[in-house]
Amino acid sequence: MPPDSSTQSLAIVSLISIGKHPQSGRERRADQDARAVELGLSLSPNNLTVLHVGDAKQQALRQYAGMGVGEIHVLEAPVQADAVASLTDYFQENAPSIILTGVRAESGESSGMVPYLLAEKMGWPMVSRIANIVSIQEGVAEVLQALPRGQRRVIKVSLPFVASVDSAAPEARQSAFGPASRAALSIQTCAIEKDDVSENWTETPARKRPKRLKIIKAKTAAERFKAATAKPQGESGKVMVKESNQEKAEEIFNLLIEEKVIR
Amino acid sequence: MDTQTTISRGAGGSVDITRKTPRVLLLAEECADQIDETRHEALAIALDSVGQITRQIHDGGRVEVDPNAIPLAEAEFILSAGNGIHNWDQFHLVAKALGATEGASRVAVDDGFMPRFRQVGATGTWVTARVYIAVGISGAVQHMQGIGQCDKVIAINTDAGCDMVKRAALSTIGDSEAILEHLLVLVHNYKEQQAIEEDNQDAA
Ligand SMILES: Cc1cc2nc3c(=O)[nH]c(=O)nc-3n(C[C@H](O)[C@H](O)[C@H](O)COP(=O)(O)OP(=O)(O)OC[C@H]3O[C@@H](n4cnc5c(N)ncnc54)[C@H](O)[C@@H]3O)c2cc1C
Repeated sequence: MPPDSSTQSLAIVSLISIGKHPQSGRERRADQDARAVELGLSLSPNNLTVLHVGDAKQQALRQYAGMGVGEIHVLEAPVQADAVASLTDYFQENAPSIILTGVRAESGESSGMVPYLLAEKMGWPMVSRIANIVSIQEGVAEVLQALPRGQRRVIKVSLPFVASVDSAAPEARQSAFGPASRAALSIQTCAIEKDDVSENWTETPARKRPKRLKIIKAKTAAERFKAATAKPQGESGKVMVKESNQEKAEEIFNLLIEEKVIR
Repeated sequence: MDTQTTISRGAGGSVDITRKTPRVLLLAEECADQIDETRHEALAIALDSVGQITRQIHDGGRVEVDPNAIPLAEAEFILSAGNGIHNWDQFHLVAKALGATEGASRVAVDDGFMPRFRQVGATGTWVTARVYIAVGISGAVQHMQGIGQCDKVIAINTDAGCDMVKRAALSTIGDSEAILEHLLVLVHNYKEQQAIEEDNQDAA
């Protein structure tokens, strides 16, 4: 959405985390979080706060700054701390109109729960997987939500609210190195709550193929033999050669209606 | 997972976390196959009390999306063109009328009729469409790899012996331009009919 006068100074916070490149594993700006910053910048270039909970010395944070954000706010906390507690504490005093997050972090548990927990603690509505914010008028935002297969749904929600930003949202602008290294970090201390649930977890690199819960359905040896040797059925479908072109077109059309792809 | 420990996938799918089994879990698609042999009944549960909820989110429903704005890999319905298309204006018209996302074989792309990002196949996009109409595409292995996940393939081709026909659930043998012409008329009639019905409903 192009910035207009009604949203230019709307208080928006984009939450950012440290991403991880899927192939090299290198630390980087997280893709969805960067889109949340992009959306925040396009809505409210003058009043966007970019906020991170964790280690202020993380170099990857600067990649967000390189998008033209003058300052990055960091709530200094150990990596093992529960970010939701620190954030709730912070927002109690500095409540914005909109909080934007990614759908899932690229590191840590990646459960995607942060926006939900935050919304619950704040008592705000939460809109998941948004692709864009179309307009904000009289305290009501019109939001496009991304559905599977490239579909979109319109949602109206009143401010303030929390939204997670989908990968279908506009791509984040490039990060420029100069501004990234010059940007200021504003570091604050915050409430720290230890996350003792994750203490007893063990982490290993993901197996290539997760093991499926296998249920053997065949009850007799004969059935197992059949299952192992069965040919995939439905080798070839219906072939129409002699019919008129009209009939062929009708058959295709009927199949499309049956499959509900023509609306 | 078992009753004691669960393995969950974290960090964007790059680590496995072994942990105590919690009481509520969201299952990944890879956990197990779908139930397909037993039938289950859904029963209504009576609750003692339902909390007061004020609605804060209003669902405005689906919006029309331009089928060609949907990423090819995600599209549900693809009309794909190959070397057997000679009337390109007509092809685009049909795709628009059907509301299908456009795809193409490598030959159609190499010949400059379609942009590179529309190419389906080994060196193009691997598509997941539920319905895939291949018009004038012979079915070279490199192309077939790209449509491996498609459910219903429909072939329009002059050659009844080509590999696409072997793969398709429905094949119509004949000139693509002639068959598409009839299809276009059918869709237009259907849309007109729909519009009339909607008008009637609005009037009633
Ligand atoms: C390394 C490599 C990678 C490749 N990767 C890809 C890839 O990713 N995707 C891809 O598509 N290809 C790929 N190819 C090319 C592939 O091998 C085939 O050459 C290509 O798919 C053929 O395209 P086609 O079916 O449109 O053309 P053709 O093979 O020429 O087929 C045209 C078909 O149209 C039919 N036809 C002709 N006239 C009409 C008419 N009037 N009405 C109806 N039907 C008609 C013909 O019977 C024929 O079946 C790759 C090749 C190589 C070597």
